[in-house]
Amino acid sequence: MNPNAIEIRGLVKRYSAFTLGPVDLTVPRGAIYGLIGPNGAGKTTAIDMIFGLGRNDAGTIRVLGFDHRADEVALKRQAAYVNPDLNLQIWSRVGKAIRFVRGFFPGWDDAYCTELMHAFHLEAQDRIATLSFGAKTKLSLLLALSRRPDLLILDEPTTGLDAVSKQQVFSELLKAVANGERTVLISSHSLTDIERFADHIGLIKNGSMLLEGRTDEIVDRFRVAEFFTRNGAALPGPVPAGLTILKWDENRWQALLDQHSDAPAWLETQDAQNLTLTRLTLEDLFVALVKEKEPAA
Amino acid sequence: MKNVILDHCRRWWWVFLLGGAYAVILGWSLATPDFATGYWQGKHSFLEQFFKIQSSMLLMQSSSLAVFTGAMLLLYDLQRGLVRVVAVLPLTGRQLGRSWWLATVAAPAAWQIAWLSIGAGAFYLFHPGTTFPTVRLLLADLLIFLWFGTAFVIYFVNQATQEIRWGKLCNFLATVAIIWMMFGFALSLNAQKSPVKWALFLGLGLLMTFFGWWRAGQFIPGQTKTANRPRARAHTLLSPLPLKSLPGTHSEVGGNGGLALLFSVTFYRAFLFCLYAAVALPLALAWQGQLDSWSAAIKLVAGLVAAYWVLSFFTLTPALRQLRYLRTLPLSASHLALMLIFLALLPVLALGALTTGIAWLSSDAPVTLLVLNHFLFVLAPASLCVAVAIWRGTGIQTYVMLLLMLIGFQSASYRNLPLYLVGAIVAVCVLLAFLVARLALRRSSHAYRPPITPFGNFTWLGGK
Repeated sequence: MNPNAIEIRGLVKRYSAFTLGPVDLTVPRGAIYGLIGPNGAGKTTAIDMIFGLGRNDAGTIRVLGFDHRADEVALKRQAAYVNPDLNLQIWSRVGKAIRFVRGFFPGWDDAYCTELMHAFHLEAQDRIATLSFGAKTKLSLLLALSRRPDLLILDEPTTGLDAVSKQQVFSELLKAVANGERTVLISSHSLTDIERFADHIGLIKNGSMLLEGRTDEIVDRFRVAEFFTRNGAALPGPVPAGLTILKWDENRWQALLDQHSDAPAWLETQDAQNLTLTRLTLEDLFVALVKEKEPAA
Repeated sequence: MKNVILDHCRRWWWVFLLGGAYAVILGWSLATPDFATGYWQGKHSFLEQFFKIQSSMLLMQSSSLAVFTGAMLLLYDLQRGLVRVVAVLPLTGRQLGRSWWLATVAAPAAWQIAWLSIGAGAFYLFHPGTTFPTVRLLLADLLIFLWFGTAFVIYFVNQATQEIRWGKLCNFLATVAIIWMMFGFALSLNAQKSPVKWALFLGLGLLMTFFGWWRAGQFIPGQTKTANRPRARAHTLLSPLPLKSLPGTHSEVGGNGGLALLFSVTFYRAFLFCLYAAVALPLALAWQGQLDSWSAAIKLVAGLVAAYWVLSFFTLTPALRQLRYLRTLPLSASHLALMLIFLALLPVLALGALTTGIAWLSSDAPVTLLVLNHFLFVLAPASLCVAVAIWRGTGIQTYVMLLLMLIGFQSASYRNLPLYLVGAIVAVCVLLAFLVARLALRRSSHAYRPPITPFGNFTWLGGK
């Protein structure tokens, strides 16, 4: 059995104003994988390609061992997709939407569906048009979880959810992956949740994958380095790849330091004084990697 | 209020411009001496033929002006979230509602009436020997105004009062308005002969228009007092579990699901709409004493195939707007394309089979063949229209294409093409539609990213 639930290699999708890729992405089986990135980075485009919502211009996508185009029906039987944009209003009632989707999945778990309806405060006779944004997202989640998919792909699933609902959603996700057989790919801007629940992350910026790996390893790899230079604001020579200057003020510097690069050794050679290294949260790391560097105040 | 009205006009100027151009054509047609004397049968140029069709269908065409350039535009704006923006403006609900009424009823009606008069005046200017159609023009002006007013009520009763206590009454009023619009058209064919019925229907139209103005403030979504809905509840640790939520008591979501459910929901609704359209107009004409035989009624029903196609298409559009979700289900692109095209054609096919059956039993062979011909021929544009909607989304491009196909179909269908040729055209069009739809589902990202609005994210005109 392929150890990876999703393998994307060299994925390229071109639009008139934006190009995604080439992107490589690997989601191990049984993992909760957080796909993060700023708005417009290409997260939804990448996820759409997996489900055939548009055609990739280059690259291969294999999901649960299936080719995403040649075996699209088999793939969709085992994978579920949640996105706040999914429109279910044609069914008018929650019960009808459930009935419609259930018809496609022989393995639909009615008991679990009922349990989720109760947990999410949804009832069969509720009108979809009058549900709140968060309740619609919950319905979408319910429709995805109740089919007991091997792969669950969630695009911004916690948008519009309150803290309690978020907790419920992640609790259900953890239950879903508890036996290690199911995989979750989640794209979200809620980085605190991603850090807490995702064991792998991928960071996309401007259509390219900046970082990918285990969450703890990635967070542990970077530090914020603060130091002073002796001779005014200038750093001698070009800054190496693992050091990103975040801001500076006269001779005081703040930079993002990749500890797996040559940057720490380089800093020592530059006579950086009072060097302090601070551990980051995923959110801090995200901001540091995504934000453009700030000039002097 | 002025700013709200001007804002609406600024954003939809191009629709008013198109509507104005169309009104000029209608005004010109209205002034022609052979107005309302039947469809053109001779071999004349496309333009002449088009004008002739327009003139004989003038009042229905003018109602479509009101339908497409009136309150529907505001409805699109509301679906794009306009209400949240304007709700915070320093205006009362009544001021806002009446601003919208002025922007979607009074202003466009005045605009169309002006251009209609210019069209009629232009004909009179170029044909000085003819009589200026003062009475016809005044009648058309009045109808246009009432149609705008009635359209406002129809759209907004349905849109804004779904949850209010008197929602059923509102839906009833909307139904009355729709029937009025249809019967008003039918009655207009022999207005001089039945002044009492005319007065009755014009009075009802005036009432609807006044009702729209009077209750405009109530039609703003979210402004109405909602009825006590069971939805407002909060589960706490102490609240008992609702019985229907207990495991094993999931009876509300029983029954067949999947595609069968999609077919049943979409088909029944579309078929009932088509059946209503097929029955209402012959009944109205029979009431006017304009239908003297079964075969005439059947021919009339067959002559309305374009309306069935449009109704069926509009019933399908909610399903087309959830393509993104449908695509995540275990259906191949071919399967989905075939299903959507079939869903659009099925109500027309069913009504066609029913009408052909009745024609076969009650009329002679030429009438049966004519019915078969009409119902078969409409499948060609109907299937292509679905393909365009899948490819480009249910935005303005699709509606323009629908309109063009409608005009083309109407022009072609009056030529009475032989059945074998119609069959061949239909086969080619359905195949083409299938291939385009399948290709769009496989390749296009456009189809999957439309917002939940009829005009999509079409920014260069209405979406500014």
